[in-house]
Amino acid sequence: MGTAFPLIFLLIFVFQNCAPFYANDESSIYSFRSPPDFYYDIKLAEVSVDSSLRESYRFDVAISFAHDPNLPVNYQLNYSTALLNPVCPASQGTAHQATKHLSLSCIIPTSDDLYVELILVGPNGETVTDRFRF
Amino acid sequence: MPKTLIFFIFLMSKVLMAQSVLVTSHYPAAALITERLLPFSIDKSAGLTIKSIQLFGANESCVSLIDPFYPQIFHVYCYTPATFNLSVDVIDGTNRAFSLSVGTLQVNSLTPEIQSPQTKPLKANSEGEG
Repeated sequence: MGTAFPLIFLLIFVFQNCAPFYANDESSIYSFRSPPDFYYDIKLAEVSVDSSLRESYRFDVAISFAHDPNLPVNYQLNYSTALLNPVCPASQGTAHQATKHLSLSCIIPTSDDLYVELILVGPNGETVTDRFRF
Repeated sequence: MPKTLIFFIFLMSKVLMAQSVLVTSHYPAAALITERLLPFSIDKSAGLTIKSIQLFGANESCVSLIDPFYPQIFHVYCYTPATFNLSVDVIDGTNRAFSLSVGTLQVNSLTPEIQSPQTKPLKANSEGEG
């Protein structure tokens, strides 16, 4: 009996230390696995359906050149359905100063997922392509 | 020269240096929204390295991190809307430490009255913040 208590305590202690340990979740916020040339983000700001059952999407987009936030970035967003049929005219332009924050819209005739392809080109020819589904 | 004067000059040089270093938000103020990684750069030409970031008044709403690839870039990420004071502790090439006060930042939610469906990145190894 005299040795049982320390043994039970030891077992509980060892069991507790087998629990998975998570230092913090900040690493999940940062998704880049190699030095990025661009920082960018697309958020769906609004989606609505009109009387003709068309879906209207509005996106809030932020774009910046990682190496120098004062330099411009050329962007293009292509909108398509799952079958890669284009559904809206592509949005394109130069993100610089105030235009690094964009509000872009796309209206699609069916209640289908909307695919957005984002292409960025930096001042020295850097390029990245990313795709999102909404 | 009295020691107090030398110390005063040393102190003022640090203050002036801190005032001359630019901290630039990569995104315009209107783009500072919740659940978005918000990058900030300190002036690369100053040769400074970020040691820590202080968010005064953000409580549990926001977290900050130094970019793992670029020592002059840090990020703020807010889970909920917040207004806070941002200060960055840096060291220069001679290991002198000082603090850069950025000022007050406001991070808003995108459109609170509209529910935003989750973004689903297509690529498993996507580099986007999606």
